[in-house]
Parts: sequence; structure tokens; C-alpha cells
Amino acid sequence: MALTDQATIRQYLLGTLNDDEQQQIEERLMIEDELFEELEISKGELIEEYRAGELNRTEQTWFEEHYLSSNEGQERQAFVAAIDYLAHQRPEPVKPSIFERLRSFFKTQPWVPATIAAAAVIVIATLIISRPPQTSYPVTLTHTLPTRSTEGTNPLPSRITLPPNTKLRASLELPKQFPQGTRFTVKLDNQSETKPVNVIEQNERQVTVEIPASDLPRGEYLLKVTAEMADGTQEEIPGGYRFDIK
Amino acid sequence: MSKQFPSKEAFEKLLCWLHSDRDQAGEKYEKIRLRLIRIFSCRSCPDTEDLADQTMNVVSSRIDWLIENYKGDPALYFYGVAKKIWLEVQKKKPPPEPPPPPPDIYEIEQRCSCLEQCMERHLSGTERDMVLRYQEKTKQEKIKVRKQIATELGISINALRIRVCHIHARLRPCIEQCLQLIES
Repeated sequence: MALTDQATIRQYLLGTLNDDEQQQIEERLMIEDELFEELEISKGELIEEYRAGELNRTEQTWFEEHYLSSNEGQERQAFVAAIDYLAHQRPEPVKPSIFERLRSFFKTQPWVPATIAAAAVIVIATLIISRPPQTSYPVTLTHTLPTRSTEGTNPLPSRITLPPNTKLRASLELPKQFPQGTRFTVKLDNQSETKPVNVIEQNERQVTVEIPASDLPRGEYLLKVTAEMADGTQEEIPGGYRFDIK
Repeated sequence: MSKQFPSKEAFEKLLCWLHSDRDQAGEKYEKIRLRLIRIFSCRSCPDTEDLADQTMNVVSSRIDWLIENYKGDPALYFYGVAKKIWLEVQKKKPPPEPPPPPPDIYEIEQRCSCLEQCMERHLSGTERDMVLRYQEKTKQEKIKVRKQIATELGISINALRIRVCHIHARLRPCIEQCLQLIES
């Protein structure tokens, strides 16, 4: 069936042919089997489009007032509605999830789970054995006053060589005794940003922090401490604890 | 227009005029009648079968003249008469009625039940699956599904349209029969 004939049949059903064209197509419909078949197919397709609201307003009105108002049109429309209803009632084939696909794969390949489990055990064991323990590297840092200070009593910053996969465990001696119940927060200043560090021990005289080596590339650092008293008042300890990582 | 049945003699002559073989003549007669019904339907005639029968009767009544004088495909002569009948109907035709409401859910469910029975009775499993898949989805998705079915069957999309249309044509009379049984 030529595409032009398909288009003409569609136009015929939607009432957009002139009288001569309509007569021509109807004469052909009387004698050409293929064209008649196309008419039958197109009617069904137009009903689908009509039901889906895909026809424009004029087409829709024409189709309703002509073909669909005939007994045949009504019967065909009800038929399409029924078949549509049945087709859309059918449960869609459910796409298996990744777990279902894996399960079905394992069912068909029973050796795979055992092999994967064995490989996982080996990998985990290797990691545990080969992974160096993240040891703490203890240092005691002395408080230094702000650099503006002219007193010239500040000690040189501690120079620390920190092995990889370790933690710096720094005990900070407080410049004065704070009352009992005081909590301390400590921040690490790496000269470009300041971030809190983990306080693991604290008392009135000393605060101990732990900083992973990964947070301490080579450079100069300053730990700043803030005390929060039991009554809620805060006191930032001037200066800080300077150290260099080599 | 003639609503009278043709005489037996005229009807026999009409069949002879359509084809020398009686069976083939009968088929041709039915084919012409069906096409007239379809054309009347497209021209929004309510009583399509009645109009087609009137056309057949008018042609039968002129059979002697036709045998002597008419040259060409008889189907075209039937069409010419049908068109005149349609024009006469137009003169008397009342203003168009509002379009009928779409089928309600009860009617659709009844049809669905008949459709399922008819599919079970007349279609193979593959045909049933094809007909329902053909109707799945909407718009672009529907086109995709249809292309997929055609590819799976190794046929063109047009061949698939024709195949589905033929299956529908097998199902529709069965459904109508089933509905009549429910109503009776």
C-alpha cells in the first residue's frame, strides 16, 4: 500500500477530501481489495487516536459526527475500547531487580557464590594483615603567645616527623588552671583554614587531641583552644600551640 | 427508492452478471454489499445495511438493461446507484444528532469478557499475545512496541497492521454473537 493511499484514506475518514476526490477514492474502494483493507485498518487506528485525544478539534468533530455516529463506528469503537482495556489490564512483565538477576545467575551457576565468598575472605584477610595499625604519635606541645608579642619568650615550634597512617596525639599544656567542669574545644589552623579536631582527654591543666596524619601534610600549624566554663561563659585562650610537620 | 426484494429470476440474472460461477458470484455480491455498507458508514448514514440492500435491489431491478448495455466493473455501477440513494437520503435527512456517548464501563467489561472467550476460541496463543501487545502503551511507546513485534515476527509494520486487522475481523462477529447471547 502506497503511503499516499494511506494518507488519502485518512483524509477520506476525516472529511478533508473534496467531492471529486471523495468519489474517486470511493470508486477505488469498490474495486481495489488492498485499498479497502487500508480503509479497515485506518478506521481502527483513527479510533485509537480519537480515544487517546490525538486528533485535532476539527478532525475529532468530523470523526464523531460521521464514522463514529454510524452503527459500525460505534461497534468498532466499543471493540477498540474492550481490547484496550484488556491489553492495559495485563500485568506488565516485571523487570527483575539487580538482586533478582544476581540470584537467578547464582542459581544457574552454583559454583559462583562459593568462589566469590572465598575470594572475599582472602581479600579481607589480606587487608587486615597488610594494613599497618594506625598508631598514635604522642607529642606534648607547649603554649605559645600570639606572635605579636614582644616578650620574646616563645619557644620554637615543635618540629614533628609524622609517619603515614599514624595519628598525632598532642597533649596541650594549658597556660593556667581552669575551674573543674570546664570543657575545651580545639581548632586546627593550617594557615588557610581552621577546622575542629577531636578532643580525647581533658582536665583542668591539659587537653589532649588526636589528628590523623592525613590531615597534616608538611607545613606549619597552630592549635587554638577555647574553654567553656560550667556557667556557659567562653574564653578563647590567646595564642596557641604551634608545630611544624616535616 | 426500491425497498422491494427482486424477483428470484432477477436475482439469478444479477448473480450471473456478477460471475459465471455461482459461488464466486455470491462472494462478489457479498463483497459489493459489504463495501457499500462501509461507504455509507463513512458518510454517516445510520441505516447502512438497509441502504446497501436498497442499492442491491435497484440494480437488480435494472438487470436486463445492464446485461445488454453496461460495460465495466459491476461494482462501479452499484456505487453509482448507492451515491444517488445517499443524495436522496440527504434531502430528507434530519439535522445531525449529537454523537453517541462512548461505551460505558459496564459495556466495555461485558465486551471484554466476550473478547476473552472469543480470543480463547479463535486465536492461537501467539496470536492472542500479539493482539494484546499490539494494543499496549500509548503514543511513541505504542509505535515502539509495534515495531518490536514486527521485528520479532520478521515482517514489515504494514504487514503487522494487516495481520492484526484480519484477527480483529475474525473476533468482531464472535463478540457480537456473544453479546447477543448475554442480552437474550
